[in-house]
Amino acid sequence: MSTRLQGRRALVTGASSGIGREVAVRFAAEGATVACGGRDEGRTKDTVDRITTAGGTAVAVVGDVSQPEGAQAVVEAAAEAMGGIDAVINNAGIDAIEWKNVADWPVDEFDELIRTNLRGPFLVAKYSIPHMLEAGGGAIVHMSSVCAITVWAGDCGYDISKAGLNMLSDHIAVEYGPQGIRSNTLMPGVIATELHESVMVAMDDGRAFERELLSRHPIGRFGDVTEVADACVFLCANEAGFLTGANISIDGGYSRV
Amino acid sequence: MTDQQGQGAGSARPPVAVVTGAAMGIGRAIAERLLADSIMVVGVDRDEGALEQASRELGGGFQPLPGDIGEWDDHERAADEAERLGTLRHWVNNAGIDWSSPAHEVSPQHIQDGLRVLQLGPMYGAAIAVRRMLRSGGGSIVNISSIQGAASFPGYYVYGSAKAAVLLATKSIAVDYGAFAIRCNAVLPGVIETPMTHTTLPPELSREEGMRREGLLAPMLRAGQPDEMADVVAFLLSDRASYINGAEIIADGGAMARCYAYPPLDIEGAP
Repeated sequence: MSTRLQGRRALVTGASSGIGREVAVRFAAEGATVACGGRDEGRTKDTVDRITTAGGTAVAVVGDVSQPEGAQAVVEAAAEAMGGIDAVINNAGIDAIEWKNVADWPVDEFDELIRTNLRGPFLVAKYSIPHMLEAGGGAIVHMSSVCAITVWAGDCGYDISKAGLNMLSDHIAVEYGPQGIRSNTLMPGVIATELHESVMVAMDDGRAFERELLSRHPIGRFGDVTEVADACVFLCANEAGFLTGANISIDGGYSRV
Repeated sequence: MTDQQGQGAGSARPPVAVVTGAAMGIGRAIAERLLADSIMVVGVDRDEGALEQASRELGGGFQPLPGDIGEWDDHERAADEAERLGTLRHWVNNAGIDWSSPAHEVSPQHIQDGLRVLQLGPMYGAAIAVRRMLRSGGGSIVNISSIQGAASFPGYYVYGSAKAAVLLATKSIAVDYGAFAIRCNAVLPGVIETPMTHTTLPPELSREEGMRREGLLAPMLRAGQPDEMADVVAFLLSDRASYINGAEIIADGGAMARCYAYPPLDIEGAP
């Protein structure tokens, strides 16, 4: 294993499962100290255990980052435990289980999507940036989605939250570029995660929809969490030193069709 | 550090990359980076002297191939050379020229000469790369476009149009051949400090001052370096980017994330 992130102090939100868990594990394997954020204490600590068992350094920072006090507490706990923050993976997110067209979307569900997928990352960035400035710079990766640039009919809350996330990323890139903070997004296509599986199981015709989804990926398969983790490592490492404000599709070609 | 860069099953022969425009600037940095990753490089360039110098400095893994990317057969020769050395796994369509010209001044010949190198060159290269990679079990192609392919710089009518065409060629390859283990992605550099960029600086300025002003385009307040583009290209070519296909990676220090005011063109005789 290489050490692309040796000495970095990374906060990964949504590290209790799926992409976030894999990113946290990979970051530790690449030499970073990792603060694993999550709402579920048991599952978040499972990620930490996986890292420490493998010889890495990690700490759990449990809280709800969609609330200002929760986000601030998570960021401050991470900074205190690691002695600062150089990298943030704004990964925590949810999707709607029942998809409906715009006129039928319940307002409270829309609010919940925006709160978790957009307000949360904004809050984490807001409270992390001062620590990154103190460290002389850093890198933020926002887990956006192919849905930020393509419509999934029936999932407006999710799509809009991810489109907003891309603009949050651009704002950080432009406003803090001179201070050495880089900000980029990853826009995954369908990644075979627990979240994806739960949505497919919950849908009435989930498997048929899944086959249709697969047909939209020119590469002929869904992505793997390890592939998203690879891209996260790249974006936080020195290799991506001139990349900021970039929205990077990691979708097997989905968004090009 | 050595990554396993796209070595397909049953591939005992060493991986080889074709890099066009490899004698100087971004292409040279890409060649150097790939060699460090234990990938042999067939370096194509029309500047034979610069290519010879690069070959001397880069060492044995670098195979110079003087050629003109506007010629289909020169791409074929590069592919033949790569297959002689090992398995052609990577192709980087990098070669370009500075081709400045507003629309009210261009001649048909000027347009054709620019498109020949900037558009047809990468399209020829990618087409030949795909044919070879279909036979050998896959590979990865990177096309060097530009942020000028996504937004216009003043006075770059032909250059910008060609760079935009390269983006769509990239998508076309990604969509048609993704299922055949061939990935194709584009990099859109912003202002990068290369010998080509040096030639575009105002002559009355020192190079340092000229590059400082160029760097103001990016919120990072500096121009990028060829090595930084090489890192992005090496990542895209490698298996670390195994699910990235058809992507357009803007590597511009944040320039495209914001609007930017340019002075209007100074056109003689216009009201």
